Amino acid sequence: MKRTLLLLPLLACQGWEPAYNKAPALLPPVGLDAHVALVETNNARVYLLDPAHPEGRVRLVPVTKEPVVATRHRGKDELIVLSRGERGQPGVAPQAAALTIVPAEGAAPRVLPLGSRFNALAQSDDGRFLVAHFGPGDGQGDALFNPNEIAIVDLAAPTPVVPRTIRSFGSVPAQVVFSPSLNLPDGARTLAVILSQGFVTILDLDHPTRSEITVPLTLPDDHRSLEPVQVLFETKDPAIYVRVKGANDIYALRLLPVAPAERAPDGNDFTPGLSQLAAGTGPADMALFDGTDGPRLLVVSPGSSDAFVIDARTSRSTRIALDEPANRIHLFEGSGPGDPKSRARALLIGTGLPSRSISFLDLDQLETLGRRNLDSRAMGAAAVESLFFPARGLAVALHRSQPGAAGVSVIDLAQRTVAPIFAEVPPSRMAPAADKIWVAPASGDRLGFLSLTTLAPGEVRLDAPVTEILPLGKGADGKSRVVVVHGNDPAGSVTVLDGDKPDRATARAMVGFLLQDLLERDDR
Amino acid sequence: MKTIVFMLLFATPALAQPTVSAPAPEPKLPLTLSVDSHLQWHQDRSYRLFGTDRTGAAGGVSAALEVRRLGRGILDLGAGLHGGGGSSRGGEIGETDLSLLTPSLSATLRWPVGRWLQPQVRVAADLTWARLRLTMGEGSVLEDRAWSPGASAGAGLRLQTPTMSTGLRGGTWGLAVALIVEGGMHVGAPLSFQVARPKPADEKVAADRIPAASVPVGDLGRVEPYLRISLALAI
Repeated sequence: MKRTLLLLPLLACQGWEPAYNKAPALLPPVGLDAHVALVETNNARVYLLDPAHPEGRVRLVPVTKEPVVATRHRGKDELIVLSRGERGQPGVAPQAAALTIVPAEGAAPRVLPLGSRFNALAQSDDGRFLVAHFGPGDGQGDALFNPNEIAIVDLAAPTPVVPRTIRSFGSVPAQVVFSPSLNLPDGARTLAVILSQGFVTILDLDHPTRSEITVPLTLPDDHRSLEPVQVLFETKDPAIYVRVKGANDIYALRLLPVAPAERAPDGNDFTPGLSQLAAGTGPADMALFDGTDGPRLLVVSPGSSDAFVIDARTSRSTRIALDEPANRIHLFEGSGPGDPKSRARALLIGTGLPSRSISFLDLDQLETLGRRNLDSRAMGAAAVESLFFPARGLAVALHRSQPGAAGVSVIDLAQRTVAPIFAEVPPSRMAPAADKIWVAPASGDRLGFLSLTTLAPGEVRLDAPVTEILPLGKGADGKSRVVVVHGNDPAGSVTVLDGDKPDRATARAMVGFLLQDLLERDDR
Repeated sequence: MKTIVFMLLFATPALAQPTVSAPAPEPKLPLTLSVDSHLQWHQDRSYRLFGTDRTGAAGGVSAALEVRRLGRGILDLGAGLHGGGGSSRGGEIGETDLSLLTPSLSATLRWPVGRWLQPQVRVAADLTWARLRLTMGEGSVLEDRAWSPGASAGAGLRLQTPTMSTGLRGGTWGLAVALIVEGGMHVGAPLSFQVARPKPADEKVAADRIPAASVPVGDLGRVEPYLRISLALAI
């Protein structure tokens, strides 16, 4: 006791450990239903902003250390954070990598520990399945890591995380795509298709312990560098279509049933039958649509400036030469000039190409009528990006702005008109909302918007340059809001605007929220 | 220390004065003016924002007036003004700065136990005005001001030179130099800050700005032991 008392003054003289010595680093902001989530990586903390109450406290939620991915949980008002954990060092205890699911509205986060320090995440459309994996990159900062190890997460399962390693031919997973529910022999199920350089891997997510199916895209003596980049699924007669960068063919994998007697123990009930479908030069986009006698694959190939309609069952393809190359397909149902009947149609547009025209394709009897179903319209400038609003019958092309040229073109899908909207400075960020497109220039502190109802443009002057635009849905008060992030402020700065009537007078700012409770935190 | 020795030497002529048959009354020292140095040991980890040093220093001046003699004891009432704070540069926040200004009222009871030595106890009440200023790396500033009432109690020693005669008030007021060392505990309400951008000086610019609420950054605790060293002039 005496010794303790003697030591007290010495303890009092000891200095604090260094703190607040790491500048805040944020992952890209994530818009939830009525909240915005910002994840600070150095101190592993989620800041949940409630734009309906900009004067209120920001909710701070700690997550596992070293968060690397933050994304919205599809179909839920939740944030998913993938963290790599802490490897441990003198004075710092190791912490396992984990997924943290943070509900927007106050409930406690759900933490799912992962076996390895993954740095990439994919999720199914319904948000039930997740796959954590290693993304392509040089090193992951670990003594040893297996780049083909993945963790399959089924959020509806009692044991949600199943780790496994997929077969590899020397490359690592680049992307994971989830199928819709497919009609397979043992019942409807969801598959994950893992895209790697030179091959694809198919995993049955409802049976995560079943062996994966690996499909090489080349023969063993073919050393081409093929990169699978797009996957489409046919659900009725299950098939997977893979578009591959570096190949002129579309790879069709028809999922054929395997008789129970022929199955290996814990084997799959299907096996892929591969066929290659010719689709011009350098296919850049593909879409599935229902033809009169079955599904058809529409492919655009800017290298040969054409489009192909492919019957996957017969491998018969029909070429339609385009007036200008296109690399983006937008399917829609609607009327056309002189045809009031609503039919399946496609808008073909070239983004990042020198094309100065767009093409409309009527998909009805396309294989029979060919180019007679093609209607090309001039556009003022080449497009760099396109947005599609089929419910409003509109598409929007963003141009690389030049003096005297359109910055944005609004395409009326029914009338097939292209209306130019001029921009003072090149728009660098676009964010589509239900009734507006929000546009921000690369520099300057003005936020532009274009009403999709009236096509009337407007702008709001803000107090700082814009780095992100997050249109939100309607809040509990029935109002829709747009949150503009000013990422240059290390203390945290956003402006909240009325999404219906954006105006500086009704705007509210949230400044300095990254410093909330600064004195109470155990920040590094 | 050298200063004290010098003062003691300076005081010796008083001893050398010729002895008179009816000794004159000892000159009084009713007023003490002091320059103070405060050293606090922060107990609240929140002070890490201003550096890794747990101690905080403050300086100021104070004055105390003898109001009553209680037996052998002397009761002084005083007032003081002290300033302090802390600052740091670099890291998460470009620059942090805490400014403190503390006016106080005190009562001191001291009693001479020897020619040089006066043990003392002191109680004080204070009101601290604080300004927290956070300058972010890119130059933006967030700040807030706060008030905190507090009180302290301490005990110490007053080392005082013998009284030197002066011509003040007909020689009834003397002069002495003292060194006061006191330790104690200060208890105050936490300083609670809600930072916001400072309002621009230009009214038009201020009115044009999109309104933003302040952000609570937390509290700085003010329960801390202290050491106070004062160099005083008693007259």
